Amino acid sequence: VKSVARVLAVLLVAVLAVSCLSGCGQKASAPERPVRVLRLNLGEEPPDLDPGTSHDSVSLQVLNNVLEGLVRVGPGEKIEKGSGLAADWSASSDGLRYVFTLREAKWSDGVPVRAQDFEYAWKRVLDPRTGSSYAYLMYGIKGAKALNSVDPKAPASEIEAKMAAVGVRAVDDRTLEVVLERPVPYFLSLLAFPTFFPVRRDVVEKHGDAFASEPDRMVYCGPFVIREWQHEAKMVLERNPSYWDAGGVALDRVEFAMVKDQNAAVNMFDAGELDAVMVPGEFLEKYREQGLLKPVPVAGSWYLMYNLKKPAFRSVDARLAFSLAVDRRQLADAVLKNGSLPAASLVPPAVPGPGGRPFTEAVGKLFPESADPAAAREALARSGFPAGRKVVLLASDTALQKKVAAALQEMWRKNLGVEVEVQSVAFKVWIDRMKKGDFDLCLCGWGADYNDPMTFLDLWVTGAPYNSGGYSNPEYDRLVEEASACLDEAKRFGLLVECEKLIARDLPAAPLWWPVRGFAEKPGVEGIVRHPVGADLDLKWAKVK
Amino acid sequence: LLRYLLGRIACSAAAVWLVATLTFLLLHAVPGDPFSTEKGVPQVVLRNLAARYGLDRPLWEQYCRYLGGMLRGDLGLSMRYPNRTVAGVIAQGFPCSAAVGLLALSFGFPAGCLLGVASALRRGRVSDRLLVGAALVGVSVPGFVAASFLQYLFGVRWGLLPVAGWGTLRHLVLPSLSLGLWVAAVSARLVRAGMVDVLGEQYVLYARAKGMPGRVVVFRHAFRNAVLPLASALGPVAAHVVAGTFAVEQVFGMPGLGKHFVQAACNLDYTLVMGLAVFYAALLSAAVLAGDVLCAALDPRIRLGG
Repeated sequence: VKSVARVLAVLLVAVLAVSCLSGCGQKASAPERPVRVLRLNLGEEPPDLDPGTSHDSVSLQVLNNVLEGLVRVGPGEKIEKGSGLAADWSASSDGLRYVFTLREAKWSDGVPVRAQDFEYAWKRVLDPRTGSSYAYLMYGIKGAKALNSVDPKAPASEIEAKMAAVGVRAVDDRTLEVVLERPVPYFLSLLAFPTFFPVRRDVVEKHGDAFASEPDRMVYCGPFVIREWQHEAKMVLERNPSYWDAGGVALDRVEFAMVKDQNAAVNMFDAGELDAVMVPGEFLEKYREQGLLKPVPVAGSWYLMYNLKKPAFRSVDARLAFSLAVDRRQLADAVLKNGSLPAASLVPPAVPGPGGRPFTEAVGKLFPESADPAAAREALARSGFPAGRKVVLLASDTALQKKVAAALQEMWRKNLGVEVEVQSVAFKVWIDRMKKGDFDLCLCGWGADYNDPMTFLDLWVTGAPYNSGGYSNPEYDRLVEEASACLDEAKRFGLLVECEKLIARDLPAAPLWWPVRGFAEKPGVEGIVRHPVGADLDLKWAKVK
Repeated sequence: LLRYLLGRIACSAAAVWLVATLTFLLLHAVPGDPFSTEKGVPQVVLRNLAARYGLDRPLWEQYCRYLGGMLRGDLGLSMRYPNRTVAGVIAQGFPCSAAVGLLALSFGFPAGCLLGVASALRRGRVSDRLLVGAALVGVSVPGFVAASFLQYLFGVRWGLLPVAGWGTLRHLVLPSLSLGLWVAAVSARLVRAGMVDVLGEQYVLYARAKGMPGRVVVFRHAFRNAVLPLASALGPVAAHVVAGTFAVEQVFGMPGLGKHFVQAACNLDYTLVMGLAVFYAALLSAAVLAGDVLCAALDPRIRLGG
């Protein structure tokens, strides 16, 4: 028995060893270095490269470089005719009908890009059976919401009927007609977002669930193609020779590492293994001194949401007191230390306003940078806030949010004399409790869905999904509704500025800071475009010397 | 022996089933769902997503479907990586974790044994104290600290090895070294403790009294018994190391399995968490069984199957 057991033990170990090592044989080919290579860190495996269902920032960065929509937003953050697959377009005077003329362009397999590819892609996003998270970005299109709302288990005929009624139609191979339900002033800027990218029916149907899971299970119409994809380790893009503007693409090759740990990525940059890297707060100073730092504003905003349904914050004076007790300058410079700016209003400066200037210029400073303890205590006294009342601040358990929550807790203790209990919970739990309104105060961040102040301001409409603090002001709702349908730019921005002022008066939320990302780039790296919104990385114009 | 093995395998299967059931219940008890985001996604969209993954069905039906799929070897589609199967994610990540893990074991384990024996033989002396101290540090320093330290020294400061990434043999060195140091520290502590015990036993005294050379006494007689505590701990240690560790994989950007254990839970990726729990339970049972068999082979006093 003993010898059998011994043999068995050795065998077991050997089998385990062999099976493990053999599986690991997919080693990379010998590193070849063509002249113009850019090496970046993607941070992690792109979870979903199907443009119809993709909704995470990592996948969107890849998609934006291998596919293209009707519009491509350039370095100037402007929407221009001919920037993407649409050579030209016209809009009806009521803003309800758009006709796009496609340029002559080819997919990477040589098949021409046709208007039908857009019609199919958009209807596929709206088909309830697809289960697309970003389907709601298309709800401005006629019949779109109706199609997306059909029960996914309904008979196919019912879904087909609703599909036929959607306002997207390929008039011919090069003409796409789009009819909207209501005017959408920012409609053209949406078209640069991957959810609106074209998809080939034959390719999707050929691969089914495995569509876009490997480089050869998708086709490309953007500046680059995916040449190699070692899951969770590495992705290599190469210039797409079939791209309509292939001559305008300077890079031959892009190599993406997938290293999640930010410090490790910085180490790779220092060791010369990456050409550009996102810099965590503690290293910002170092790269600024070396002259390698490029700050990139983000169309995002962090704020404190009050629960107006809880007795503690029913009174606007109590809300004002908690806002006045926060030192936003100190929060940005001493706590966050990542280049973020103290928020003077809700919509961040990266979002354009009248005449393409930052929206914040039209709004002005509505929230002070430093704390005003005297005024804060006065407001608290006015509100009749009883001494010793328990207040709960809900925050997610990331390092950043824990740090901020602790700092806020201290500011309220010092400037207001109120003890706040911080509850740091896992992200998914935070979402759940935030949506159910299970908090007194909630630390929240919002990133723009599209490049317009509306994405921050329609959050506060009565009953909006994110308005879980229960703010409701008919005047505010009216302003938002009027602005949504207003095609006169100056008037529309005027209405949105009024919205910001109402928020500063009624305080459903108190803005805290505007985030900024810092990137370090090797000398000789030029032209990487990083947008404040949406699919943020664009390498079409990138160069390396 | 065969009968014993079959019995143990049946027990393991029951344990795996228990793990699957508990994981399923726990997952569904956690607030939130895989598709919740901070964005104000309309209800309709969430309903469509739930329907695509069968989450709109009653819980017992989801459970039965899951177990049914598991028996057929189908662990379903990941929710975070919608066009990859859970089995595919495991098949892709496990070999890499296992390669690094086995490499770490292959030098960490012998090194630990040697150090443990050396330490026990110098019991009470300065070198013993130093080794015990070093092993204690090795066991207690968190993985990501050791990994970051090695990464900085070898990758950035001296530029000898790639900082992070995957694809060549050189990429294997630092991750396995980080893991191997921990393995060595764990085994050194266990072996030292075993050795110190055994060296005081009468049969060792007897062997020495017979005039046997010290080396033979130590390695032939004492070591076999001293290594028993380690042999029984080896199964779980090996399973832990081979299945991948979050910290080391995170720091070195390895395409391993370890990070999924943490990230899938954070993302509430139901299918991936279930698949990983079942996989790890099976791996652990197999490793423990292998460890027991190994113990029996080493120690004539242990009889399997009685």
